[in-house]
Amino acid sequence: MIKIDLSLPRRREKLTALQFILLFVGILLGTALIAGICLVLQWNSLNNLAGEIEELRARRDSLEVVSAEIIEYEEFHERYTGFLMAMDEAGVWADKQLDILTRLRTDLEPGMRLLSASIAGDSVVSWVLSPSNVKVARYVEALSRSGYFAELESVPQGTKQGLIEHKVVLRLR
Amino acid sequence: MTYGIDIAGAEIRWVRLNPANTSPSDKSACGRIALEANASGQSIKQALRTFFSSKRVKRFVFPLYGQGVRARCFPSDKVDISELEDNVSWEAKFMLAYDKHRDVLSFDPLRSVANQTWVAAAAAPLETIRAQTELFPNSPAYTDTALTALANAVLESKWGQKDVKILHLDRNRGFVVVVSHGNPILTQEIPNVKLTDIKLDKDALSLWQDELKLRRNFLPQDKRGLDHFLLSGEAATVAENAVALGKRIDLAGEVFNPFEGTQIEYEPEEAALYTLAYACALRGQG
Repeated sequence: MIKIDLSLPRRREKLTALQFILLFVGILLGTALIAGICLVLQWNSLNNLAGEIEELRARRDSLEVVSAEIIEYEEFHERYTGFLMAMDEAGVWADKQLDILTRLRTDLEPGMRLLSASIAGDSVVSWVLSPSNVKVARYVEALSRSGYFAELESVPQGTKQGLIEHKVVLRLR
Repeated sequence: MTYGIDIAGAEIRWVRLNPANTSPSDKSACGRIALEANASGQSIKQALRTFFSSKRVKRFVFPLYGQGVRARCFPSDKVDISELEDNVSWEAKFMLAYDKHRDVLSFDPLRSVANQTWVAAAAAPLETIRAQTELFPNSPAYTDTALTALANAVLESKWGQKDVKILHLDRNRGFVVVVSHGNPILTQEIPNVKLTDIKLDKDALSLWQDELKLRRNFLPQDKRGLDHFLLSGEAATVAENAVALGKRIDLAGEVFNPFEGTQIEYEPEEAALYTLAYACALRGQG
């Protein structure tokens, strides 16, 4: 048998108007459906995002409050520390003044009286009454041995109540 | 199942061949669909669409004929199989006036003798193929030519190994094929056929005697001695035509029956109408 084949590849048939319209509508509906689904998904994710933003904003606000409180606490703590230090310093100064006054009183010679004492800065001025100048000199010497004072000076101021009034000026070390 | 469908002017002739393993109740068959006189392409398309739909035709082969359809057997230089196509294509320029820009070429290597390969080649203009193919609602399994289909019909019959000349003659078309010991040595379409009467009168017989004698000159000298003359087509529905025309060309004339020896149910006087359709159905099965 002779095998001849003169076939041509068949051309694609053209779409009819109805097929074209159906295809167009199908593509349109398909596109609209896909776009709709995408929009819904997008809207959903935006909603989630908005919720997260709200949550973050609330957290930020609460953190700001906490931060302000921390700052306030730190300021308070600083002030408190300063206050404690001032109290310590004042305590130390008060103890020192007490020591000085105690020293001024305990080192008095028999018959001597301490009238007053004032401490200002590094100098102490005390007024004493003494039966004799020698006792004042002993008193000043005893004070100088205490190690509290660097310079000592006593100046007689006259008599008072039958005793000699002396102004003793001391400089703290 | 394979259909051979032959659009022959005023009617469509079809032959259905079933595969060997189908049930006996589903027999091979043949039939005709009448068309209007000078039916337009649109009415042929409509008739084919109805036929394809009613018979659920999936696989079919049809014979191509008409303007520019030609077929020929010729010896080609024996070359490597990879070069055969180029070689045949080049030789077809001379043997078939093949123009690669205008025509479609198909060939089939038949046999090798010495340094030559005999090939059957057919060419047809692209436009002719397209115009005839577009009449059908589906693409054919193969597109045969009427000339090679007629040759196949003879080769597959009891006449295949003899020296015979067959004329397929319808009202509007005619084909001559000469088969010599299994080889188609002449395949020609006769142009401008207009058969007014199926019964050939004296004038018509003289005309066809001249036509057949003229075409005898295309045969090689040593192949001109033939055994039989066979008549097919509408002209063969009148049995006297075959005998009378055979006598005119000094050959024993006979009506060609393509269905001889087959299981197809047919009207004996109509068998010769289905020569091309049957050969195409066979081609579809092969």
